[in-house]
Amino acid sequence: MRIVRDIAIILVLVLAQAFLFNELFFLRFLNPYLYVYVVFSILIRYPRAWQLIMAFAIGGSLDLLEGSAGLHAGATLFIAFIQPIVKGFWSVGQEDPDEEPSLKNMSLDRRLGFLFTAFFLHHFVLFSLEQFGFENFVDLLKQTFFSSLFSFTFVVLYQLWNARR
Amino acid sequence: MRYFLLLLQQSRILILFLALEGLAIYWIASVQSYPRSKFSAQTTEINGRVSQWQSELKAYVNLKVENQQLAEENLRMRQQLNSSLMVQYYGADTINDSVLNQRYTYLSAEIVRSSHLKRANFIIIDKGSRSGVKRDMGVMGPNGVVGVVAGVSANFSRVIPIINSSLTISGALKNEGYFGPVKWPGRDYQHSQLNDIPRYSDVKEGDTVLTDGRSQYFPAGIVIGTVEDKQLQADQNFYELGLNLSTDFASLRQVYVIKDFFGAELDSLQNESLP
Repeated sequence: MRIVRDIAIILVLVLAQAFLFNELFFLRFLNPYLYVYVVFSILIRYPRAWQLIMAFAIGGSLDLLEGSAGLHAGATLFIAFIQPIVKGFWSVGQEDPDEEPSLKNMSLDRRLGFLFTAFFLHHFVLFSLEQFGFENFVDLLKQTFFSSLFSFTFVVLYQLWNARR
Repeated sequence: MRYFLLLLQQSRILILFLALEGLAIYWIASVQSYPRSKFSAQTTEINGRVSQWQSELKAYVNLKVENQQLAEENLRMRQQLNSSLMVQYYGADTINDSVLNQRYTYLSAEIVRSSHLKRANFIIIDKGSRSGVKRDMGVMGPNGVVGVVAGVSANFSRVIPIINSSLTISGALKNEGYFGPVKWPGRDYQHSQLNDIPRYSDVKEGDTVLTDGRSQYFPAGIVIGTVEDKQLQADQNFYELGLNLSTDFASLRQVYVIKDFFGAELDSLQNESLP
């Protein structure tokens, strides 16, 4: 039953991303990519191989809807692959490594640090794939930083709202 | 062999990751660089259909700007009509101009999806191979050059605008005729760059840059933009001109696809192999 619910949430988020968030531009170049959040919240409960395949499928379906040809598939797959490493980096010294690997088990500051790093990496891969190279590197970093900050703000709001419930 | 299998078993996640990432990069690379890019007709068709209802909604919101643009274009057209020209006949010579041949025709199309704030911008229009659109046809808007058709499905086409750095077109200064490549540096959608203008040219701010007859996509004389600033290139012999693009990609809705009746003939001449 849980898997049906997960798929429904993923579908809704992908559609919302394609038709709502992609139309939302702040300061003319900031675009929140919130669908990435499912990689950390939902996909993380599934086996590794499925995580990668699902991440590719989510990114790919967004690419089909948006006409961006592989950009989101590549970036989402990358973040799904790299996230245990990022998570390990943020939970150095934590006592219980055997717990279910979910965001709930991280303290709030670590969770936020992890989310920002992950969003930054995802956006960086996304934008460098988009321009297919690293020319204008400073511009690229600037855009990545502000965009991930923007996406991150939304996620923090969601986390706070969730914490109050 | 056993160790090899063990190794495969242990690194299967890495292999899966590399395979899928390779697939994604192949997908991107097949689209990203214009002259080599290939778009599958199915993807274009899906993008087009999905975008159509979205854009119908937006069309209502933008009607005012749209009407303004059309009115301005009408004005320019009216100025070129025979009725607004005066024939000055001095009785000294005869002009026989029955040899004019139609070279270009235009097909009007509507934009169903576009991006102008990204680094790899694209436009999808609502005319496709059923309306006779083919790859590599030029596309212009009411205010000037828009881009080039890069992929076609039955009902939609995908256009690479001049605000995508994989497209380079040829531009010429209206006053002096010097020409060079116009290539988008990738910062914002209102500005572009014209390179390789000789240092001894007398180019000034505000000069108009037009398309050049040398470009295989556009007829000569369509506005690209105006010169905004000039700067010597690294080689010190040529200017690099900043352009203010005349097409506002943020409000563009109506475009014209340019069909060239002599395109095939020109192509065959260009592709002729040397003996």
